[in-house]
Amino acid sequence: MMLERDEIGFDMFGLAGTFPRPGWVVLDAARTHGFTGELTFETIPSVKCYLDDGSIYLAERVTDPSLGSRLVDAGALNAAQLEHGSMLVGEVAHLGRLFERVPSVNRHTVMVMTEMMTEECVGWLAGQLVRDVVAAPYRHHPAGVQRWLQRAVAPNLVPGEPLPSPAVDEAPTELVPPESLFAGDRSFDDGLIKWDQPSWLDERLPVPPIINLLSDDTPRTDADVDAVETLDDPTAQAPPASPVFDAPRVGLSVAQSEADSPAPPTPFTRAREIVAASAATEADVDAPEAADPTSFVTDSANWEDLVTAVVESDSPDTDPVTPETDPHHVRDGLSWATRASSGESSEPAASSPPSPEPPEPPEPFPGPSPVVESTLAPAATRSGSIAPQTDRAPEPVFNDWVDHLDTDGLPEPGSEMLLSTKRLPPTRTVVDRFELIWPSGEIDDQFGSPDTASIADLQPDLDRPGLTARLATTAGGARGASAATLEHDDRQPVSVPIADLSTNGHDEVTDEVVLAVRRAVASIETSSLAARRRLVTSDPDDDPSRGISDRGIRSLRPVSATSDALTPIAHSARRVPTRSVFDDDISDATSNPDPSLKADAPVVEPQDERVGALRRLIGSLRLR
Amino acid sequence: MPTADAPDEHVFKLLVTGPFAAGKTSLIQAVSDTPVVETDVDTSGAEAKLKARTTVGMDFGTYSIDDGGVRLLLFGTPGQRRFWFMTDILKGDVDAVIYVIDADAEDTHAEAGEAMRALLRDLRVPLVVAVNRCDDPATADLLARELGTLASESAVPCQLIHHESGRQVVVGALLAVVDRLERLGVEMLDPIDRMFETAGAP
Repeated sequence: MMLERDEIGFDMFGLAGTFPRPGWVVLDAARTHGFTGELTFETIPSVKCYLDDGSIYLAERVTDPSLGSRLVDAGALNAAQLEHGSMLVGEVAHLGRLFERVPSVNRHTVMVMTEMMTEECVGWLAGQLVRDVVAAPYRHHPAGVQRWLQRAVAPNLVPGEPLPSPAVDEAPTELVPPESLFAGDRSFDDGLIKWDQPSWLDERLPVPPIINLLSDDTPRTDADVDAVETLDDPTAQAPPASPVFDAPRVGLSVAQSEADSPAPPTPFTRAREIVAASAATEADVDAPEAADPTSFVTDSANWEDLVTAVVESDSPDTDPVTPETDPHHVRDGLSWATRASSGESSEPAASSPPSPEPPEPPEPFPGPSPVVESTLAPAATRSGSIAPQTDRAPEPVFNDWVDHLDTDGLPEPGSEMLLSTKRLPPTRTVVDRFELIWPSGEIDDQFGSPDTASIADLQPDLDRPGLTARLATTAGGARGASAATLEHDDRQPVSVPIADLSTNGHDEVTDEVVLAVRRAVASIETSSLAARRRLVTSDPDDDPSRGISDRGIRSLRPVSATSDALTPIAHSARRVPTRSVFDDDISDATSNPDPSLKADAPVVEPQDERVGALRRLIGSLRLR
Repeated sequence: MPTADAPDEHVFKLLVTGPFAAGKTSLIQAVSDTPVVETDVDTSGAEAKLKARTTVGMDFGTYSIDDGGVRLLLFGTPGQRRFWFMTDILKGDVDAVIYVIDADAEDTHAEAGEAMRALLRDLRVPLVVAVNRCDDPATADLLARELGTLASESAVPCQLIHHESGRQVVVGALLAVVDRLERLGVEMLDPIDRMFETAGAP
């Protein structure tokens, strides 16, 4: 059985036969039932409430003006925003897309004003005696107000595409200044994990990954493989601990004293040994003149300093660490390397261990894994000895495609910073002139000079849509400064010696470029040079180069007061072409329009006439 | 002789509407300098007690100056609810609406207010409420607010049995049109033009 709408709305809240009732009773019933739709209260005047899940989002009397008019009257909107933001659906102005159509509308203001008006109406309704209530489920306000309440659905983000812009009226996120790391009440070790460390581990752990920054130009030997296998085998006997990390303890005696009481074979001791071996191997490769590796091993006990120094050495922007500027130059690896590369031999330690092993070729530091790479050091170096210098230069080992790239002026690994035999590639080319190609085909390359070259076969209005500029060199090449489609520079290049560009000629070119840019700006604003020349002989009233001051204020245009007639005037509001201040720099006649043109009277447009007619009409009626 | 399409001719159209027996026809007659085109017939039913004849189609009056160069057209609507469709026909391209109510006919105010707002929902034109049989501006304003007028809409107390009072109502409506034209013109201007406009540049 089909039910009529009135039957559906009848006694929806179980209040039939109890009317008249106070309005708040009906409102409570609607809220309890989670009603969604329209409630029409029979009061004087009638009141329509629109609810969504029991919550009233709009209430208005039938005698109230339209919502848009009330918002305009309240100042939340202006007439133009309402005009552009509403859509007439029949006789109803739909405001559902107000915020999308007019981004300048302050959404919060509109919403607050709507809520205030609703609260006022509901408050009044709650105290009224309601004779009857008609419910229309799921009927929303004809102005589409319920659409304002819909939450914006997160758009589907496509990888690679830019994020959507935030809503125009969205409040910016308040920026909180970053908390200082050095606040007085902040412990610097808050983020560190502490544990009970054995006494024999009373040293800082190395940072193995930084080892990759060291040189990688020594070949791999069988000893490396053995070392790796030994390290991977948990049953293998660990080599004796090295005194590498005992920074305060300098000298072999300390190392020997620790060697007398070897530490248990733990991964930490292995790591220390590996790092020591790696450092010693680097000493073999980069500083063959270093007589005693123990001094390096001892000096490079502070691994943080070593890491910092290595990073700095790889950064061409940082200043080289010199003994004068670096207070740690005595003990850090960089200082040692710098001295070694410059031919200064490192002073040996007080007592150096004898080298029981025969000399071996230098070893590389390849591979990405720090542990594996470090274990590639020869066994001799791991034990604290150092291999003597060999005459054979280390062969580069290319383990990665990056290794095949040329350094292009960057320092070689292990060499002194900023000291390279290769010159950096030039970052810019010398440009001796700046050419402007006008839409008419004319090319200006001697700015300030009346000489221009014309190309007869060009169709300026067809071939080139706008002004084109390019930078030309003495070799005849041109670098397009814009999307130039035609290059007709068949003239002989200007024979200006490059050497002259750095002196007086350079200044002259700079001035020309500045002038050219000025002319380009002027032409963009006022149209092309050829067009301006045509304007000299054309109707002065159509001269677009005349500014607002010359043309007078554009007065109001005729408009009908009806809403349909407002759109044309909005579209007709356009920016008047202005005259550039740079036009005065052009020496030709195009920059000097007829002075008599400035004496034109302001144009009186029909809008003023209409207002004037109205005023005359009013005056006539008053005098009648 | 200027034609209707001549650019130097300005035509303004006012819509005079309101409930039955409020004084719409009297207002048009007070202003029109030509014989008012009427569609009055004998009133029937209970309304016959109020007045003998009533408008069933429209009232039309004109007022012109400058030898017809500026013309004011006044269109009056029927007041009965059954003839409200005529309002939808006549409201096109109006420059302002004059809503006439009878201050003494309080029983018509609620319906009048509802009809007035329904009319102006899609007519964003100036509105002037002519409160007939009222001499107090404050009372007229209060009555207009009860009908649902906005603060920007004016109420004019009038006695439409006097032609002078009717002309004052029309003058008020035309002033509202002037104000709207000037205000909308500035709003619709290009920002640069608006800057010069508000600065009063020559």
